Amino acid sequence: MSRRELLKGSTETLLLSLVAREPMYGYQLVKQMELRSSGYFRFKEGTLYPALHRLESDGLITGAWRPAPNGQLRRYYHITDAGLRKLSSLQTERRQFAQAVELVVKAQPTQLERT
Amino acid sequence: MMATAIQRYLGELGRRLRLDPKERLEVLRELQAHLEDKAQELQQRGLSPESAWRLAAQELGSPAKVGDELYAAHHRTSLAEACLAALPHVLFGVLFALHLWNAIGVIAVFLMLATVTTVLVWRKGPPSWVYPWLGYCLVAPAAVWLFAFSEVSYATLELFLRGTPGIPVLLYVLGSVYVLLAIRLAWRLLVRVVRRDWLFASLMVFPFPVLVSWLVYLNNNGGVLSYDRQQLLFVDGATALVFLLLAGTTAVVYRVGSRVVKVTTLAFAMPVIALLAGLTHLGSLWSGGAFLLLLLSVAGLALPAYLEGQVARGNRTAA
Repeated sequence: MSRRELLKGSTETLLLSLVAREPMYGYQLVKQMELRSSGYFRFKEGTLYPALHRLESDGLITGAWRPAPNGQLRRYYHITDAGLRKLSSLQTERRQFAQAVELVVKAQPTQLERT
Repeated sequence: MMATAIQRYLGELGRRLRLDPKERLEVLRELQAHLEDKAQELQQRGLSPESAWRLAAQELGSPAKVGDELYAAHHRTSLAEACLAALPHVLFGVLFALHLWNAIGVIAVFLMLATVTTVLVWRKGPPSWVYPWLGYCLVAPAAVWLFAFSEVSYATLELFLRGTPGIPVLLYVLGSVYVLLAIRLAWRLLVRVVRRDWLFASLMVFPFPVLVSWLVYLNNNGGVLSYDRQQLLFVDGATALVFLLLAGTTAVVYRVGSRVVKVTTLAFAMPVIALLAGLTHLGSLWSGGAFLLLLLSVAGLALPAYLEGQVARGNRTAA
């Protein structure tokens, strides 16, 4: 699976995780995503806003205009209670998936180990 | 110069959103803020303002693509809303299935329900599911208009041939004024709906070819009071199924996110359902009546789309 596909499948979890730490606006989310993943995830900017608006219409986040540190108004996204519950369930699912993958990978001696 | 390019970029993107003005402005403000932040960062890295704005817009993506994705994000309809949009077609289908279409009281209650529902929700800013309901609100006024139009046309013909309209002059004048005024009002309503999204206008007039087909059938079979009961039982059942098809198509159009799929579904379903109604009521697809129904269904899709283009052009010229 390509990095792009992995990002696409994890967009919801990543965005909810970021706004769960602190309210953020769109451009800040792009930068934080890149920073926190040490440049591994580079969000395609055009797909960010549709993803944010989907989360908002699902009631997982809410947007509100307020001044950014530079004084200009930006639309900050906050996580809702429903968003926190969803994030918790996504994280549990992700952990279980990762554990299951790990178990399968570890259980099979690779060709490399046999030789 | 760069500001104009950004305005053009946001303008093209905004047209694809098909949101009410307040919501549309909110989305465009947010994207403009993003472009400002990005351009500022690029300028700090040494790019000229012009190159920075151009690159910022380029990295955000083509306005068409971003606009379409935002459209899909904003026009996702819940199952409940899709069912609400399809409900008037189902109710009308039930009227036929139960052979209640000639029970004036039941029809009046249905049309009142459609009108009250529409008026109540319209005040708070019309939700997307209300447009099929609005279509049924127009059924009674459309029938009255059709009657007035035929009377005025006949009176006008009489006036030319015999020098007198054949009805009292005051009634003729009032009838003519009503016919013209109603066209103006209907046109204004259509433009208002089209301003939101031409697809809603098409969904609003979706059942009209079916209703016209049925009225032609009724007229050919001696009107409301004289009909062949056995034949009617078959026609009522088939008409009910046609209304269920209308309901199913409406629900699908509301439920899918992609605009291309919405338009394709409607473009395919509108003529097919009109022809099915023609087959049910006229008995043949190879008649002038069936051709008229086909024409009506194509007009129901093409006219609002064309009108939206005209309204957008008018807005750009005014700006």
